[in-house]
Amino acid sequence: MRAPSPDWIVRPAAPTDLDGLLALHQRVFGRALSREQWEWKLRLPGPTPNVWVAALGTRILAQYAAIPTRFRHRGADRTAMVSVDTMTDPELRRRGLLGSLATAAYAQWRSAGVPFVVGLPNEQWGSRTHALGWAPVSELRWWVRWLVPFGGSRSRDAFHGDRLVEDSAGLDDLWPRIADEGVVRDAAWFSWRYSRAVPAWSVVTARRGDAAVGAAAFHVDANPSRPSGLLGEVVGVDRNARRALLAGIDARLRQRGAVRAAILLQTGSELEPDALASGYLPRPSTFVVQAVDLGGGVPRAARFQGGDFDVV
Amino acid sequence: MSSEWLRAARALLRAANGIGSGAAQDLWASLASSSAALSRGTPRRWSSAGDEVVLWVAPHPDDEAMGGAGTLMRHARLGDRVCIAVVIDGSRSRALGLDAASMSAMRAQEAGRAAARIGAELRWLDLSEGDWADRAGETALTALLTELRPTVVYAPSSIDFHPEHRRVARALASALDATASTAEVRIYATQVPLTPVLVNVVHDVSDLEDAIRDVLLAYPSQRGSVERTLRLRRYGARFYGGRSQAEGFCALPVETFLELHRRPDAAFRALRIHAWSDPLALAIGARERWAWSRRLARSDRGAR
Repeated sequence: MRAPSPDWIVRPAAPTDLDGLLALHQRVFGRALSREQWEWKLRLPGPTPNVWVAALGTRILAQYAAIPTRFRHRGADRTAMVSVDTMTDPELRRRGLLGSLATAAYAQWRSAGVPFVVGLPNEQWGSRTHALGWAPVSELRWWVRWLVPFGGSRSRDAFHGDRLVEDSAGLDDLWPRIADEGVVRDAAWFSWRYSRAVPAWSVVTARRGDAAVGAAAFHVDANPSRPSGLLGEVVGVDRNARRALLAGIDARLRQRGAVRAAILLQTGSELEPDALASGYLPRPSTFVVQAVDLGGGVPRAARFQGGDFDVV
Repeated sequence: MSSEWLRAARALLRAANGIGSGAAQDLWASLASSSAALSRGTPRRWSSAGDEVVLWVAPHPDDEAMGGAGTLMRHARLGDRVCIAVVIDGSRSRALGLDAASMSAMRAQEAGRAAARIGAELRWLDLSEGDWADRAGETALTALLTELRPTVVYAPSSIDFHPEHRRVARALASALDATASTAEVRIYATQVPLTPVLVNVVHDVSDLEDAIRDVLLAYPSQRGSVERTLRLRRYGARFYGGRSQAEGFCALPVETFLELHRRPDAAFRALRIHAWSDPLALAIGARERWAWSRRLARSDRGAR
């Protein structure tokens, strides 16, 4: 435990903190986070406590949290931390709470063997980003495709021999055939990140014969005036599988009333030409993926997707 | 225009380049198909009786996967004894930001995984990349040839731009000479095509395409090479009449291999990430390939 001032203490979150954390979320972000959403996102098994709080008595002043995520890192599977939902009570900003929380959490995670923390620190972190050891490792760019008025509404379930099916069978067999550095995209990942998310996403797989050759996840947001489809990730063993997924998802998004589809793509990834060929165009807005080395080296070779983070 | 829009435009151009590369690959494959009629002679179809002792000499871990994963698997499935000798530890690769010792350990692990997928025995000769003496390579390979007494040796060659590949090829030539080996030598290509000028044995491995990809994926540290390797096989298939993937070799007697490796180095070019310039990889070094071809023709006539 660490006390940055005589009044506050920094400690791992306890189950009794949940009401205070949800109230803090409402104050900081101006929107409610349900108990169910919080538990899905952050109450996760991991090698070490993943949510840290600064508290004054029973009042929660700040939270520093991360999702323990299995990464293929330098050829081995390790549990790394994906930083999410950093928040400080608006009345208490610029008093060192974030720095104290992060420092305590990193020390604990480092001793638990976590190789790195990765995330998308925003501009509000300011100079603390550098001070805490964050360094850029990659970039994610928005690519967008307008789905109407030019597109048809017919579902496209086959593409050069690859069929699309809306289930997640065979994903454990698919992962060894992809085996990129980055998040371990096996059945457990797709299940937690998308199928069991609150709200849930749809998962589709591309099949060649009986074998899964690709997988993707998507959903339509709740904007009633201009519903948009979001693709969390697209993985495939080859170009054809990836394009089959992009084409099939666009058709499904149209059927669900989406007027545009958006996906975050890693700069320089093999998905960029596939997205362009499927009608997506790059937008100027980007996120910089950054990481803190906790002793295992930062994931410079990782293939990131938007769904790895909580911005989609 | 703001810098954000300029960077978006750059992303667009990069993606367009990727699409164009795919189209270029289709074009080169079609040209390979239509130019097949112009080829001189018919290469021998690869075969094995299932009682061979096969030694595959790979300068780096992954050269066996790139050079002929399908052929290695076929040998193993037919019952041949298959041994892969990885000569250099690959420690100078900086693909994942690892230090030399970690990279070497990782590549040894990857090579073990690839050999298991192939069904082959792995010999890790552990020469430190960029820091090994020719004599050490010759000694290690001589010991291996003496122990295994292979009937077929798959060899790297100096039809390559990579200095370490050329050095290993020369060390192998010396070891074959020292052991008075009578094995048939089959030169394979990694990323510098042998071209129809030199390929005289062809193996249609289309039925093993998925298995080949799995072997290549045993090397996550060398991920960037997978598509290039499959592209080279695809051109071979279109030229020689395979369905989707073919592996080509230049088979020659030991003494011809020895003689050709006394020649001075020539310039060659590998296939690059994008397919645009693939024909250059066939064209650069054409003179040296023709010189080899003339020497091979002489040894063929001598054999007859």
